[in-house]
Amino acid sequence: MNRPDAPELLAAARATLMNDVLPSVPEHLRYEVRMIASAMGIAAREAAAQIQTEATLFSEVLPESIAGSSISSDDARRTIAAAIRAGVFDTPGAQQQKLRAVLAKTVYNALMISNPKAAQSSEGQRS
Amino acid sequence: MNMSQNSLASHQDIPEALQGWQRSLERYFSNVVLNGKATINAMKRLSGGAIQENWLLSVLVQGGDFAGENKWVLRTDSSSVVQVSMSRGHEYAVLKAVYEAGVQVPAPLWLCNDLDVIGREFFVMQAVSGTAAGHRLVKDDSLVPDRSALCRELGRNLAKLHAIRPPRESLAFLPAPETDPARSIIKQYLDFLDELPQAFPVIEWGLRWLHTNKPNPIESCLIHRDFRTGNFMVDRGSVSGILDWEFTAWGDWREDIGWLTAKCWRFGNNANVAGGIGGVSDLMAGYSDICPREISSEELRYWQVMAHVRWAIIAVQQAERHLSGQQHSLELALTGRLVPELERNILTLIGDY
Repeated sequence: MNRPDAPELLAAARATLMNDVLPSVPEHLRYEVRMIASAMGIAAREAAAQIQTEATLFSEVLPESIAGSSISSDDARRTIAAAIRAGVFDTPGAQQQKLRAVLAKTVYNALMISNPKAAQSSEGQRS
Repeated sequence: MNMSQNSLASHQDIPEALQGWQRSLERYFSNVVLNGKATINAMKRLSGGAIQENWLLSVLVQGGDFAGENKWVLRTDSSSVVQVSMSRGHEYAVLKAVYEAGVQVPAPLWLCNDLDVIGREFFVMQAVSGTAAGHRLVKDDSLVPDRSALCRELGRNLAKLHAIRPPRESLAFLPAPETDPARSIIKQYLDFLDELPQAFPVIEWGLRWLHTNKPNPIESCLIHRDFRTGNFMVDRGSVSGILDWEFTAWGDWREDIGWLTAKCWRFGNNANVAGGIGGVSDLMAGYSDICPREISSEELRYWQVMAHVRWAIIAVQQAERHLSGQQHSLELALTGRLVPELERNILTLIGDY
């Protein structure tokens, strides 16, 4: 086991960048430094995340075509996308409900990594 | 065009360009201003465009119609960029058409397609003052003292633009109007998705919803397709110029309203649905001063879903430019990480989040 682990290293590096480096960075490069800090934050959260894979989630929607343990998340996404386009979920009912719930879950999981504030502040809100 | 936005344009562009362009541009200007002699006193790259370069020029003209100190903007293709939108010549034709229709834009002055001048096609327009910085315009009341007045003004501009109907000889280069613009756009976006190495189930679901809920087509008109906060300059609370006409096309007028009011263009000020600036009712009141029209909440929702789907696809494409090695850029890479938020907006609008 490596200590500190990847999220801890990234967090320490990000803190140094923002607290010690940024104040001395000239104005025309500050945007770049903020982007670097943002990328490090996303990478740290992704490295720490323990979420269900999308393959597992999507296998709940189409268990016959997606066996969660033996398919990659990329392939699972492709299968679901093709089924959506083919109109498999057009009719309201249990299967459509399942799809909608799983899509919301995948977006929530992705937001918890890319933009946790957006994941939390938006729940239950309509725009 | 936008002097206040954060910029990736580096200041070391200036000396090189000055050396290369100054003399030939002075000769060009002395020729087009008629009976005058032009001297360029300053030349500064403006931020806000990765695809196009905008240069603010201070030009002193002795004699002729433009005698005195002039502030002009030269717009040309970025040297590194592949052609992704219309040419500068076509954009100039659009700018002229909308200017003549009374839309508030920087006055178009000259188009130059002689590549001997600066090596690329360019056009020149009057510089406009103010700021386009979205994050400031939505928050700072000193920049926008009367939000309802600014929204009405935006509405009037949109209505004047939408009053331009096909066919137009000067705009013959635009793809012919579609009989059903929404259907064509959905087809185009599905084709974009098919070109990507990964699948995007939420965007796909959004497009399926757009397909299932598609409104009846209405008569096509000229639409901007990027009419949003950040693309109009505001000076002393009023519109001083609407910018970036490179995506202009024949289409459904409601698409422009959906784009301007989509949550992704409110710069965090979500209560102000019209671009973070103010209310839709003010926007449509201004619109109706020129052309009495209404947009129902269902129509607005439909075109807002369309807006988020479009932005999500563009964001994925931008990240792909980085990932494919076509253009190494942290900014493009991070744009890919905006996709979940856009997907959440799509699901929220269609009632699934």
